[in-house]
Amino acid sequence: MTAARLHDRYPELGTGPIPVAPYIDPAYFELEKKYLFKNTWLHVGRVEELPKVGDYMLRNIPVLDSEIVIARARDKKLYAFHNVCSHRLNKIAYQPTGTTRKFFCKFHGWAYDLDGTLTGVPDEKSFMDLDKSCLGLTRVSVDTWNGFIFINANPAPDVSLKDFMEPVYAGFETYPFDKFTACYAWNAVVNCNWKVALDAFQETYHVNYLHGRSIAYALLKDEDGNLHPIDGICGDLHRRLSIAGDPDTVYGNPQAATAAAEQDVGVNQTGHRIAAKALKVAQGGTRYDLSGIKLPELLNWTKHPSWAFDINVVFPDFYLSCRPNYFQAYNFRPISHDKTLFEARVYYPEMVTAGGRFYQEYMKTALRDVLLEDLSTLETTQAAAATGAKQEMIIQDFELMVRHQAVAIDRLIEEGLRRDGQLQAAE
Amino acid sequence: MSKLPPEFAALEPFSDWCLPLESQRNLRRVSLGFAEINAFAEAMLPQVEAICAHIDAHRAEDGSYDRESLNLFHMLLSLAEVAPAIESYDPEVEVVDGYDTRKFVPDETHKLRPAI
Repeated sequence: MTAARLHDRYPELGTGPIPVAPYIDPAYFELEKKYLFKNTWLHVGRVEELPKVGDYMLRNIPVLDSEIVIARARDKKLYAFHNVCSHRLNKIAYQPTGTTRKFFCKFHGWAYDLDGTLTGVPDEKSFMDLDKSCLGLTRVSVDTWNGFIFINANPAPDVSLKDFMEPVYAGFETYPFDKFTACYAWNAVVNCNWKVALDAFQETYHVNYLHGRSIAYALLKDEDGNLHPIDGICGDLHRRLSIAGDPDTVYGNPQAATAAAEQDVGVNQTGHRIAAKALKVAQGGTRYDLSGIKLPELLNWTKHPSWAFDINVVFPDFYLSCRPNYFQAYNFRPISHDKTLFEARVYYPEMVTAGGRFYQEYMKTALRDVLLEDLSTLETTQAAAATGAKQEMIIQDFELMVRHQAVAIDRLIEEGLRRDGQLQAAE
Repeated sequence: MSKLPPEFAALEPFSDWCLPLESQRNLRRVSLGFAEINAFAEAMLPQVEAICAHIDAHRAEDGSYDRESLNLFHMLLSLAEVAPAIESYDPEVEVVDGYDTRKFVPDETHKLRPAI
């Protein structure tokens, strides 16, 4: 008997090969910019980065052709606007992050309040019919979901962030995102299409081979030695994978070092003496005891006994992987059809002992090196795609998420083109 | 002048590992041979509990440390930096066939990054 395939649940996605053109065609990339990125919610950071009135961050979002300022204003709310002065352009924010009372353009000194309102114009009386109330900074939409800040270049979004997330991610509210406030970040500009990069993170087929030296041992394999996900879910746009781990490994045990009390997490492999030591001295190292937290039902939705973590892809380019003891937040920000800014963030609980901090450094360093393995294939894959030697890629059952992404993007572009065509016909 | 607290004088030959930044620790790891990083790890491993106890006992109210204890803390974090080489990539010091670590840049000014 053949086991039921993931693909059987999503017959509308098909089973054939997927085309290579969307990964290498500059014209397709322009369509993605127009119909995906400029009209959707994009993750830019955490609320903990902007705790106080006057805190701001500047995010360069190449796919929006824009720099966006996100600031916490006097009403404690977040505002987001283009980093473009209303007078003769130039910029109003110059540092990647900071705290300020107002934003000033360095050209003629126009001043803006934290919510983007124009408040100061030097030599104002020499302007003709100047109405300051209409000349604030150009707003974009901003909202938060469980402490994640999202922006939308469309000032009047088609769907709210809540309605955008809920079809697949309703019920995340009890996950302790706000307890994981120790963040490590890395950035790389990789010469590949953003989908080539994201695809490498939304399947586990590669783990046995690409991560054979590092973390493959920590994930659960079936009797044939294959590393299949427990399950997968494809929404209209978003998608999820659930992964099982070996609870006797530091990487595969989701409870490692979460408890303030002593606990027994073994390390079954020889040759992991530093891991074993890190686990031992980490006990009781977190500021908060995380052992009592009840995780949301939507994590480990199959209730698998060896569940380790879920991969959540928030359409289009946000990867959020959640475990009981930390989470990873990656963005694959398109720059051009063959260039991507990879922003990797991992968030751990705050540690209050040297042992806890050592364990965290162990985990963080191991993760960074695993990411170097993941990144290693991207540029060669892009170069191979660009040769034109292959017009299609073959997809196996557990690479369903790669297919789902391709199909969802195609559909949005087709819908956008059809809408624009109808508008033109009506004119 | 010694960099470490007196009770850890035996680790003094490895005090070039007292580096405050991840980028510095990583650069040192990938610039040395495997035997050198392994010798560092072998010297550190039996001392980890004592090192942690010393650091925890020397933390001031405001979270700061005396110079020698801070050096020791940074040295402990260097042990984590060499761990993947020893546990996964032996006899290589870098990620085998990995992306260039110098192009994957840590943001060491990120607002939520721990101070140490």
